[in-house]
Amino acid sequence: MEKYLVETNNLTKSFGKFTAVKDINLKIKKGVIYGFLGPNGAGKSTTIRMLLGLVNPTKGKVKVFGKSINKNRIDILKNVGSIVESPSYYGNLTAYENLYITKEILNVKKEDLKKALEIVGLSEEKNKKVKKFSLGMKQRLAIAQAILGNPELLILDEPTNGLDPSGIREIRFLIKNLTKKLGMTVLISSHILSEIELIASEVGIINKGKLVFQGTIDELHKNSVEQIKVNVKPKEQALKYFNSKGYKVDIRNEYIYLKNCLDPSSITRELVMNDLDVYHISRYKSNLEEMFLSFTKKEGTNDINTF
Amino acid sequence: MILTLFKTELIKQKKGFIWLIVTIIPLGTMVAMFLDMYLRYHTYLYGLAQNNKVTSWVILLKENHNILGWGMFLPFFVSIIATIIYYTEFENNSWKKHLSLPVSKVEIYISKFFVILFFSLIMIILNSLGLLIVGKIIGFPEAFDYKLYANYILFQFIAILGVSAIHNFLSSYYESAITPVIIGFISMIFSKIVLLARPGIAKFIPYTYTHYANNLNGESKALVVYGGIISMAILLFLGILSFKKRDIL
Repeated sequence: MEKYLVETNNLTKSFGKFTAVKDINLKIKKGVIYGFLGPNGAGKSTTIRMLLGLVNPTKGKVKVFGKSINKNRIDILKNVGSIVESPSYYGNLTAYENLYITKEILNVKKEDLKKALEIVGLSEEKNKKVKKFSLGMKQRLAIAQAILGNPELLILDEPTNGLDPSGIREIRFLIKNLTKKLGMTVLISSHILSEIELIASEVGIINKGKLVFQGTIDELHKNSVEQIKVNVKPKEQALKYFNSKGYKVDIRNEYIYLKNCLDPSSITRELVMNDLDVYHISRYKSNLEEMFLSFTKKEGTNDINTF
Repeated sequence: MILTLFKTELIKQKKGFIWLIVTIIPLGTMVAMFLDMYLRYHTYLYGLAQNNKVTSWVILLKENHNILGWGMFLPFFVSIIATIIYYTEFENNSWKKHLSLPVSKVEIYISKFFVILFFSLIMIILNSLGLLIVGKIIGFPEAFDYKLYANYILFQFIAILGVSAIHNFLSSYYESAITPVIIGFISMIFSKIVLLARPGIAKFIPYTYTHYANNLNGESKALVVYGGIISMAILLFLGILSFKKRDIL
């Protein structure tokens, strides 16, 4: 049996001279909610489109359910539900008719259609034209289309894009329930870490087309490095001193963060001995948001933190 | 699967703009032909029919095809139909959803082609039906020539096969709805010029085949049949190759 439900091998996509996705090795286990994180334009949607066979990779391989998407696209897609970027629908048709089209293509029963509408809470609105739906309702309809036929894998590209906080909560609740009740594996992409943190058990962080982290949320936490947070004046003199000592520094607002130094007392002593005024010194561990930002700030990194 | 896709395509067009197009264009031609017959039938056209030893129905068909310009405009109308069918997918980003379903790209492409043909055929039939109504209202003395009009419909349908294949490709390629329509319009004008100036070359341009569909005998008949079918086969095949390789962004 295959270890991973979704696996990519050096997946790369170039558009002319621009490389949107470079050597990505995604590994998604069965039954997990995998959060695919990255800022806008990082390459998430291009990767997802390659997973679905919508875009042909320039290089590399995609395996879903242990089969190559290139050779078994139709077989694979029979067990994959998806939302790619914005919800797709035919506005002149009702929710029911939109789902009916998908039902016909998937060749599933009418009962499955009704069940999907029930799960997303659109049974009452099934005869309403979709162009009259709110964005939240359109998203729920898109999820209903995606879960129709009970697929093994759900790929959701930014499913909460443009939703208000209550809409986001609603969709999050829905996705969590899907994995619990239907046992689906979910790949969900987003550029908002807090959203993924609340829903995913594993994450992959992509930046500028490269996968810069892959592992569980706990492993991401472990990746947090303890630093010393200092407020010292004059700042320029302090920076010169830290540089001469070989400390890695990061400046945020009025604070200087020292990365490879773990002893506040000796630092305080050294600063005072050098005629510098210390206003604040403390140990500091970055939160997930900051770690995400630090991952996505790094340019041209080749390091993939895999656990 | 192509039949299923064809059915779903029809559902997508339910209450859509395309129904208005395929009914309003023949309705317009019917009104125009009624005015033509009302003003000229008794004073000129009936005499013309008798002089040429043809029925009023033949005169009506030729008036529709040549004088009104149905034969010239038909490829342009097909381009509008194709654009509407594909715009349905582009309008709401439905391509990504549609192609993420377990269907082959080839089947989707072919089913769209069939839908273009289906709506074009409805428009062609309604045009001829409009002519029948005009003839009955004007009170043609001869019985309705079913065979002539059935052949007229059939040959128009065969004549648009190549153009449908071209616009199946163009409409799938250009996200902007206006581009394939403009191409269709320019090609219609261009083909008419070539037809008049270089009839030999015109035989190789699919946009010209509808011009020949009113003359249902001899060389023109063969040109419509061979030209329509061969151009469709070649252009549809090339379109499929291109569509299969295309990235859906």
